[in-house]
Amino acid sequence: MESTETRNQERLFALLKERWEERSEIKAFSRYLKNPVWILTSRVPYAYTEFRKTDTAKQIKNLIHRPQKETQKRLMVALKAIKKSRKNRAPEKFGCGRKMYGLSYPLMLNGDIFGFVILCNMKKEMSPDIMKVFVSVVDAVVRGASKELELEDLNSTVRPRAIALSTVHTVHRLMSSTLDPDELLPRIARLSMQVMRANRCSIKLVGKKRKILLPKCTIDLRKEKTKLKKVIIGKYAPGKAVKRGASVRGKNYLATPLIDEDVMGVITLYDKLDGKEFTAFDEEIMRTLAEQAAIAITNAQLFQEQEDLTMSSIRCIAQLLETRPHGSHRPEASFLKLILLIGQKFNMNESEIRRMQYAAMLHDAGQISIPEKVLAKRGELTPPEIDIIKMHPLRGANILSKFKPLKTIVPIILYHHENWDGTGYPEGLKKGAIPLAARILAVVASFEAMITDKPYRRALSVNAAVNEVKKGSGTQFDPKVVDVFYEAVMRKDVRKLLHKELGRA
Amino acid sequence: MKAKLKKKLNDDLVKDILMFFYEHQASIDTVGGVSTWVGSDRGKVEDALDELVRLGVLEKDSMGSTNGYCYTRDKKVMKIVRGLIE
Repeated sequence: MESTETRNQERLFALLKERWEERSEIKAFSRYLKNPVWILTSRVPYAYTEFRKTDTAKQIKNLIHRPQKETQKRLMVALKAIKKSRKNRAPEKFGCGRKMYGLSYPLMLNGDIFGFVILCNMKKEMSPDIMKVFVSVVDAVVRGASKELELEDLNSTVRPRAIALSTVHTVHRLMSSTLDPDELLPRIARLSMQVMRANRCSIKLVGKKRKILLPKCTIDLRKEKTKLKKVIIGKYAPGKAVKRGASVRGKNYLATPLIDEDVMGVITLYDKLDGKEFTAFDEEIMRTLAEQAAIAITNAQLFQEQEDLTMSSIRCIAQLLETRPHGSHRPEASFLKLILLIGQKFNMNESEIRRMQYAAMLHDAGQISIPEKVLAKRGELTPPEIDIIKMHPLRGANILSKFKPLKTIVPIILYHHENWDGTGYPEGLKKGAIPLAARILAVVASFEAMITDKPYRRALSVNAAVNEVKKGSGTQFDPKVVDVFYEAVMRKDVRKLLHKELGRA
Repeated sequence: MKAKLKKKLNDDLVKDILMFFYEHQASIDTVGGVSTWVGSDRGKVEDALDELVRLGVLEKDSMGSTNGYCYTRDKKVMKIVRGLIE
């Protein structure tokens, strides 16, 4: 078998031969020696009978143009010089015709001879000084070409790895910036399919009893609908990968376990786009992606748990508020749905919408500081009582600012009673100076207040409340928000939800 | 699509980017990454990438401020590109 060293020498010789006379150092030498003929050869046989059959011998023969007997003699002289230069690893002169001179010098790399440079048809003999220069020039050219190859090798080895690393980094960024599990798993599947160029990807997570794998996401480029199947741990490729905690690879599938402390699931890829088999390199890349995916899934699960905890706390506070005299059962799901739809229309991101929903559930938290007699009063409020009422956004903001996860909703709570025309409270802010989330909450909270019963008045119908909101457009409310609210509240699904929660139209 | 892509390939940068993704079909990279591989200005690379996304040759996956570009998995488009390149 050919060794790497031999292959490298062959590549180096081919590179030198291809561009030998184009190199500036060689060009300069050619000019100085009055255009001699350069012959580069990789192998020179020891025996003349073999040598004379070589292309090198034929080239020399063509240059000599002498009678056959003399040509044979000259060729033997040349071969002797080449052999001597090989033995001495030094240049060796020879006569290559009438008043024509030749020279042989071995091409060497790391002390190994991999070829010869033969100069023919020199019109004058090379002096010892020029020969020294010649030797250093040839050696430098060989070293330079060798460096070129090294760089080429480095580039062909490092570049694909750098590109793969960059891909892994991009995938990591795309995965880790998603905290919604519903969005994360399809994203992991899509990214894995892209990196592996596979037709299908399935993600299964270990069930609570750790006996089965529950299908969470399957994407198939070839079918619109895909079946989600449970798999017993230990069976089939996904089950085996989870049981062993190691990848399971077949010709057209690759199952990689998702491990973060313990095995949490498996990503299985099927059928490469080009029909080729999954390789050990694919396995290695998928292992790295699966590690990142497992971290992203854990982060999303932790985030979800924290969100659930925050939401439970908020629900708890909201229920406490409902026990107050003016409190009443709120259409929570409809309320949150309206917030979601309006937020989406204003291109708010998931976290901005979530903050607004939290604020929506707690917007009247400050009413906890209002005396019950004021809240339950049926008649008109006195100016001091109105002042107390007007303090509730500020009080609510103060209370909630103590709860760290809710700090970001404080401005929404504080300004949700500001009016578009500047007649609201607590600061009398106008138009765009009021945060958008507070402007949205102002509309939805007013609508919600109108459709629920209060101790001092009966609830309005949904349509009547919608009309009241529209009347306030441009004065109490931001007209754009009112338009978007109208669009949302007229949707069939929202109406159904309202009907379900209120028990009336 | 073929005619439009053929026309776009007169632009050296578009051609370089397409060649990069054609040769590294499993790659997913950002504007910064691709501009390193093709050795060109980020702004121009971003425009060329988005043009290739519009033509359906590349796919764009966005999350927050991260945009990942990758080669299409549409077999028809892949066949067209292969025909043009080879």
